[in-house]
Amino acid sequence: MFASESNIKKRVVSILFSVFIFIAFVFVETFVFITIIQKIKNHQNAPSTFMSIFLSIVSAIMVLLAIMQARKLFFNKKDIEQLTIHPVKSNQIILSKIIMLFFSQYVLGFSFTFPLFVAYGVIFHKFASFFYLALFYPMLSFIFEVGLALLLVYPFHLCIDFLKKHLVIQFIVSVVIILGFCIIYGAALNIFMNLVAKNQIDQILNVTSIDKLIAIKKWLIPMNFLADLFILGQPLKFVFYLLVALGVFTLGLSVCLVSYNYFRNVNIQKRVKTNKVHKFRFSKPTTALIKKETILLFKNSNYIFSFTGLLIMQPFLMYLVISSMNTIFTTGLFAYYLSFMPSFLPMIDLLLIILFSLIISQGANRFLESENKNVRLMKTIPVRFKRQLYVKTFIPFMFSVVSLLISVLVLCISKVVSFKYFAFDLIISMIVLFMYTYVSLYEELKTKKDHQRNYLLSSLYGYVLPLIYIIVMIVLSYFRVSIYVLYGIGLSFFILVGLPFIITFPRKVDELFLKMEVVN
Amino acid sequence: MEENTERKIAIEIKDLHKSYGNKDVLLGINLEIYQGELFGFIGRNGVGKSTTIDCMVGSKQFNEGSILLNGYDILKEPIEAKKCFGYVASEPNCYEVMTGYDFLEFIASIYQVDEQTFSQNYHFLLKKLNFLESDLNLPISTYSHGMKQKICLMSSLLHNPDIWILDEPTVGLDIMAVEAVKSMMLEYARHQKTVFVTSHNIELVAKICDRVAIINKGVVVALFDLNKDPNKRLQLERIFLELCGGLD
Repeated sequence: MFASESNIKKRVVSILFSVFIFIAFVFVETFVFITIIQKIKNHQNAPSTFMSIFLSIVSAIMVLLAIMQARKLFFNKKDIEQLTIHPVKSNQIILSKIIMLFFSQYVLGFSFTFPLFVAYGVIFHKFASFFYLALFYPMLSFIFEVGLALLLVYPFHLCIDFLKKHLVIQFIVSVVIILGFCIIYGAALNIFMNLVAKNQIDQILNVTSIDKLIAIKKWLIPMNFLADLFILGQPLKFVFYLLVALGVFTLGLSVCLVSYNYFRNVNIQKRVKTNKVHKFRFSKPTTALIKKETILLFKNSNYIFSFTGLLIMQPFLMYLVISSMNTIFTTGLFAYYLSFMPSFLPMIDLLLIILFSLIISQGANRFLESENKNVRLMKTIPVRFKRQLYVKTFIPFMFSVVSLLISVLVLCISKVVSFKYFAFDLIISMIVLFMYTYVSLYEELKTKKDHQRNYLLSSLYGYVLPLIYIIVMIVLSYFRVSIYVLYGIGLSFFILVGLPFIITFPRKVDELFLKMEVVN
Repeated sequence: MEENTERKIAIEIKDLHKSYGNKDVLLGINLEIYQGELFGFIGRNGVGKSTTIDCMVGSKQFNEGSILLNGYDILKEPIEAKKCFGYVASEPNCYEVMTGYDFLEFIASIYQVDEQTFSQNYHFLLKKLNFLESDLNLPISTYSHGMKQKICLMSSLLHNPDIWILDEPTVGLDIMAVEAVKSMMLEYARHQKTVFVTSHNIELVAKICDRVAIINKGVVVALFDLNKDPNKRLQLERIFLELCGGLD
């Protein structure tokens, strides 16, 4: 009600973006499901097995989501503090939270599974009852999924709490998680490449692999029982499912009740206190600023996933995507067409290198926004604004450059990119990254209080100009202009377009920072 | 008055004008605050108290006028001027991802406080503000509002500033901490340092300040020497209400 207009806009944009991502996910999920099921529909038992496995994967995702939501619902300190002063019993609180959990899980589960049932039903010409019954699938799967989530939510909460207190371990775990996602992403990308570029679906889904899938399905207890009820119409399996799912649900609910009461009455009142004697280490102001920026970058969990964690994964991600792209462009018809533009591939590789480093560095390009109220502190300490702002931007820039250097080296060592282009790729990307960093700072300095930042200039320097350059160079490549000339043009172009900014910005920076209104 | 002319001016504000777009907030503030003085600056919400302080500490630009802190112009010699004061904002300004230790270490390094001064001030302030050393190991994000304000109070005094500027320092503090801050302000002024404080707590201002300025609609409407005229100390709340339109 009292939210500012910009906040409302932000929320609307964020909701629209989330809805878009969600719809895109459901679309991709259904598309992949239909593509595969169409290919295997003639193999005996294969479609039902595949459906069962797909539903189990969805269930695994649902359990993860339920754990995260249950943590927010049950172990939110502020919520518990608020509820403590009201005459509400623990079981009433838990019941209300489980009802909340049920509705949100039903909507999500329905969105994930109903399109699959519809696709399956349409492909295999099922009766209307099949589609009608599918409406109840998320209700029944809820028992097991939420049961398991309730069982795991407190250990999960303890793990998160532990990680928050141990930053090195938190960093290692986040890197492992990102690495895990990258490996899954890499495997998925590999399968996708094989399907799209090489059309090898029959080799992937052969009789042996389908037999393996059938064997795997047997172990997916209890979701395989539930799937058999809906797909094959076997009511006896439902009894098995119900027994297992209710058992897990009862156990999960009991554990959650005990842990919730423990957390509410005992744990929340404890404060961890250590009596370690601290040795203060004083340094020069610039060193102190560098240390501060490093602490802000590495201790802020928002940055770990959006910037620092991704920096470590950048070489791996870049290798995966660029090598996959190169595979597409060097096979089939593409290879024939691209023989007319010999510099196409190195230019596209350069564009991808630039885009990767920019997108990852974007996670840290909220220099002043992340300071928020502490801009006032920056303004009152006796250190020149210019020095503070340069340190502020230099630290993430330096980390980005190191990651970029390693990434380009990995690409060259793995022969995805030729060593001949190493220096050019690196220097051009660094120039663009440098400009992008300082233009981002300029945009922030120009942002008025309670106004949204205008990303026009940084998008122009970071994305539009490189894109224009690459397109023009690809056209020139058609006329057989040497690749070294193209790189030379790139170097001169990016230096020239950046030069006016580099000359004028340092003169304005102090004044712009002083003009920036602090948040009260 | 005669006595004042002999004393060194610590803060000198001349003809200070500040506007936000078309809205004029400060319409010519003139103040001279002396060394060793505890100076109160009071006014209603939104009349320009915090804006004046923001201009003084260099966090806001102003349209006209000048501000000298210990003789240093905040615009022309900002670094020297900023070294002279310690500042406590009405809302705690500290890095929440840092631990209390990290933050104090950062501030001490920025002001180049030597180890001996740091050690003396650190232990004195811990004791004075009743702050547990073990709490300094925790991230500031886990602190209560009062604890955050205490860490800001500590950080503002680590470098023994000549001028201590406090904007609503007692908001969110418990009674014991308010008493501690009050006695620290008095003690600070006794050591020939200057304290500039804004507060809504007129009783507090009346009790401890040597002089008080009342600001209304962007100008100083009254300036009293409470030591010379003790009656004003007793009547400050009534005078304030009269001048600021609270009483008919």
